[in-house]
Amino acid sequence: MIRSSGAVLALILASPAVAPAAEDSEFGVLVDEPGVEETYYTCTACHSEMIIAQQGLTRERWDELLDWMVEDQGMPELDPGQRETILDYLAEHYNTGRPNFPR
Amino acid sequence: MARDDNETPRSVGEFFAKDPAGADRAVFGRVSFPDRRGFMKGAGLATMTAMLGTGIPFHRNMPQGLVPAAFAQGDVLSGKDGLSLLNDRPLNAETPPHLLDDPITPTDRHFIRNNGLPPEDMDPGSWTLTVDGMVDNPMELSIADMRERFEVVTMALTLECGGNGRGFFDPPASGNQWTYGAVACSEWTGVRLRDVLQAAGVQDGVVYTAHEGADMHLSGDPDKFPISRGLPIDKALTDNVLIAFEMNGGPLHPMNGAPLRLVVPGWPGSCSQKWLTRVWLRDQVHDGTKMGPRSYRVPAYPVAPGQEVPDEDFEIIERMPVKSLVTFPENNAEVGRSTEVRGHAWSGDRWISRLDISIDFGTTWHRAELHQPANDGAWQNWRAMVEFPEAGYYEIWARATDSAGEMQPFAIDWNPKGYLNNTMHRVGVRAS
Repeated sequence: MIRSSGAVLALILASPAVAPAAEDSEFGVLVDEPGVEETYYTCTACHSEMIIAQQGLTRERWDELLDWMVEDQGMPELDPGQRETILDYLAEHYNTGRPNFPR
Repeated sequence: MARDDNETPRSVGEFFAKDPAGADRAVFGRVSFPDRRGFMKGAGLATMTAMLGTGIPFHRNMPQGLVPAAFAQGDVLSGKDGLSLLNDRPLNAETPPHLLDDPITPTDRHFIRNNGLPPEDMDPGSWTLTVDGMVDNPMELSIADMRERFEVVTMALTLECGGNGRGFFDPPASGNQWTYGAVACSEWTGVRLRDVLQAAGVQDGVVYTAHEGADMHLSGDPDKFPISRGLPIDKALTDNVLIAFEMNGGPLHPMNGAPLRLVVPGWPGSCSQKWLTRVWLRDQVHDGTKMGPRSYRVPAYPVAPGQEVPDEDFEIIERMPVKSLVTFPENNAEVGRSTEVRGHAWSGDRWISRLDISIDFGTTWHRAELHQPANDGAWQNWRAMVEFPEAGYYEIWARATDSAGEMQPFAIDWNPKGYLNNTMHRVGVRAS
């Protein structure tokens, strides 16, 4: 895969030594389930995964949030397959039932 | 940089150990001089200093591949004491209520709400503020100029994030899931925004101020602002809105906007632009980043939890609602059969007229001793003695009433973005 410097920067910021809240995982505080790698490296190019783990949203709201990042926040368009993978992951593990809320 | 998965380092340390120059370039965008020290043409220095939150005076000597020790110590909250980290990029951290017990919030207990990446240069000596737009005399002022030209005042001023309490919304609202502690009342020293604007000459037809800071958008795009909000001109001309250059008699904490920021008490914290570089006056409501369509706005009418609301039905939040905190005892504390209870209460642009507490789930209420604010815009401290009739679990509820007769509610007035949760603070104690 092609990895941007942002992704590596995210790696350093999310390493346990930097973020005490992070578990000892290469995906920081995100739950390690299918789709985590795509989600982690795509999102942490701009922001910490800690903000993802706090949310509890429906798939539709996650979809809107990705639209907002592309339209307003300068995120590159994701290819459709990648977007589906990320949405599936977020909708399953960070939904309104908050199964993985960090506190 | 292209790497296949087989080459992916297992850890940052391994990455730097194997290939210091490559790791430097990948992580910080850094290129060293031929002597393997420093930052050629400054490449990577901005990133590293932004991550550190301050400059590196001896950067020319810094060896290639050296990861700043501060990163290894996990010290993203350097200079802060006991704050809960919500997010490390952008940095957001709140203060547990029992650590907000001081009448005036110490600098190391003031919450942090960043929208972007802090600037690398926070030098008060070279900092300038531009005042322009619809003014007669556009100005560029250093901090020394401001001290010399305008009255310097010190005031205790309450700042609260518009999203404080969002974490209790159901269905959840997106954003940082603040609980109680995105509020503080520190002493700020600076000059009045009013005095500066009047010196610049406010032209007829000005409607709104627009604020800009030196922080950087998360995408790194220099043409985007992480946040740029403003105030109705009438609010900007009140006498407790400060352009502040001291916090609690010392320098501003880097994450609280050093060396210069606005402090607009009682309004959403986002009005109080940090790392302030420019205030310009406009003949329309400011349309900068996070002025809308939904940021720092709530529906113009009551909505049901989860209800869809069209963008055009949202209104800008102005004053923050009446609210209070119990800062002693701490939630879940073991207490005797009697204890002192204390905390703070505030209401944007208003005073608190009474503070009542209940220990029986709101059945009966007892008036607490309520102190005057240090000045207009400061929270009010309160205290009471509580006797528990027998051993067991009790909840202390606090309910403030403001000078307009408005009281804190029990239930959240839900809105889509999770703002303005001013419900009563409940603290559980075990009396024995």
